[in-house]
Amino acid sequence: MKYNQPFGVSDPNAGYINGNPATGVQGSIPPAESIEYPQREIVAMIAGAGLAPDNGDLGQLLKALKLADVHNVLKIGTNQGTVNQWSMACPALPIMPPPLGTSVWFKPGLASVNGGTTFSLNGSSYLPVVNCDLTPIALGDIVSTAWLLMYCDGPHWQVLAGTTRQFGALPILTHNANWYVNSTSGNDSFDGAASAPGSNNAGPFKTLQRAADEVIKYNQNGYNQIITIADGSYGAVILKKPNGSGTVFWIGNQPNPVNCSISTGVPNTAAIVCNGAGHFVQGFRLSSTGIGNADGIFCTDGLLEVSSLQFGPCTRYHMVAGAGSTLRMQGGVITIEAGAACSVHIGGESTGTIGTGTPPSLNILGPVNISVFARGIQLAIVQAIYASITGKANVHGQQYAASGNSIISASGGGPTYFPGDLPGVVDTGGQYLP
Amino acid sequence: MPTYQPSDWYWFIGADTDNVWSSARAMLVPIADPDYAAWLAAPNHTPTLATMAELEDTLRNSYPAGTLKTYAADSRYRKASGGLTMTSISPVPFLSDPVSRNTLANANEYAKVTPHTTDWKLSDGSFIPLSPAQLATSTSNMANFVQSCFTKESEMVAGINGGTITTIAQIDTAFATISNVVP
Repeated sequence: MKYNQPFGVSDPNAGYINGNPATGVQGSIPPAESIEYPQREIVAMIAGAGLAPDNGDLGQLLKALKLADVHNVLKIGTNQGTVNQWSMACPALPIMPPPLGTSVWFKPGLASVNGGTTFSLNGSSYLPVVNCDLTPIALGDIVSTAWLLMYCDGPHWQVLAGTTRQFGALPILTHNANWYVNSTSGNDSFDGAASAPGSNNAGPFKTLQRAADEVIKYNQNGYNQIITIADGSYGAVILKKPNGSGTVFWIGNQPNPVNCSISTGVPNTAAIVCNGAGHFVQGFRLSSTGIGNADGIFCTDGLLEVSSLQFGPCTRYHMVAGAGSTLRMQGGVITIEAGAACSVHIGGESTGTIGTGTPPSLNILGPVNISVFARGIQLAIVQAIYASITGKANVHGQQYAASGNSIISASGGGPTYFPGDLPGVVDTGGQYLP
Repeated sequence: MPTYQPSDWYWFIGADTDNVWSSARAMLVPIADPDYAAWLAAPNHTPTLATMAELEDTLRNSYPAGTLKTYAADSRYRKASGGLTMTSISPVPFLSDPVSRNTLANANEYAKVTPHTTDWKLSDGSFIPLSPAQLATSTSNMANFVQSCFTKESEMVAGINGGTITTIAQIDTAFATISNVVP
């Protein structure tokens, strides 16, 4: 409503005066609007806050203000959209689309996902939902039970409150995360969160490296990340140290690892390099034929667990644990192809350790030249025990070599436990424990 | 998976799948043996060795009491290296470890060529003077003592092969008959 001057006065801003019969001054005549319109305004506020106007309660305007300001009845709502396209309805807004400064309380009711999320208020155009640093909200930022304070800065809806993300910190996982890689149908620009291409950029990554680069973006917070890799051929990958506690599982084809192959011919390159603790690799064929330090799998730091691996030719090691690291075999079948020549099948270097958790089966498919089956150099420990060994006689080479105070243990398997038609050798303090 | 403990482990030997060798008991036990069953359930994995000789090679240094022959060899070594008292020379035992035996023999040979009195150190750290004759007697006593230990070991191996020696206790009894005190 506007200001309504006294009846019959031309000045739109004239004030009201009291009448004084003693002096002959006539008082102002209040127009009807001056009485009716303020009532309408107040009643609109009372009703808009959800109260029923009542002449018996002359404190309703204050209550309405409290309902709006404290109980947020004019700016609160739940998600009427999807996991990545949020929408909310509230009492009609005086300005649409919502301008800079609009803020509402909103409950998505779903955990946030990668790939971009948008928000619409009262049917406005969808705008991106971002953190305070304008990065898109991502997996782990919003839990399904959270209430968010959404603020429109013009081009975005910022989440001012309710996110789990601390400014500058990694998104925190609140459940296991699943990723997919497919060398045929995948694309490294997809979000990696779906096994097949779909809408809104959903689909598998194309390369293992893209997946390796994705998993380190999150604080695992005790949860695991499971990467499912489709059958196919893949290039070499460097696994990086995950953040937070939890394990990153790389799952190829465990019954038939030959169908999920990682290979490279680049000099001094391993098919898999593991640079940090917390990975479990299973179900792959590995081959690395470049000159120099070309290995099947090279663990450089922390604990790496492996299962169900098949080895093709490798220039240097099939499996090696470098300085201070531990590579642990965990069940399944370790397969060595006929002709899968290498210098060493399992080796430890410079305090590196290769060990066995759950004994795997060892299957050597045909004649193969392996210069040394088990090798330890410079304080390394190589301890291997197999549930069974098939094709032991196929190996041509030395059974073991322990040097530099390294220990090679057959864990009771006996003096000629490891495959090879040449006896093992110890020197410079190396020991073989049968 | 539990850590390999040579002192309490089990092996299949050759083609025998009805029994396993127990290092803790130094004997074959049937696969239904309750202690073996409990060990398997740990869980543990039972390795297979082609022959008993391979098992003896496996346990020779890590746990000689695990098989009868390695125990017999270890008993011989401990007995022969445990000292010898020659009462006609000294009530204090002579050291009889391999280095000491070799040193005694060399001292005796040297005294034969260049007769002299040798200061000999006994097991308690004291020294006694030994004439060439006493050196010769000491060397002979020592050689006879060590030979008796090896003879006993060979008897044990024959008995193990013949099935008459089947327990650690029998080996202990046999070596106990060798005296480490001579005139």
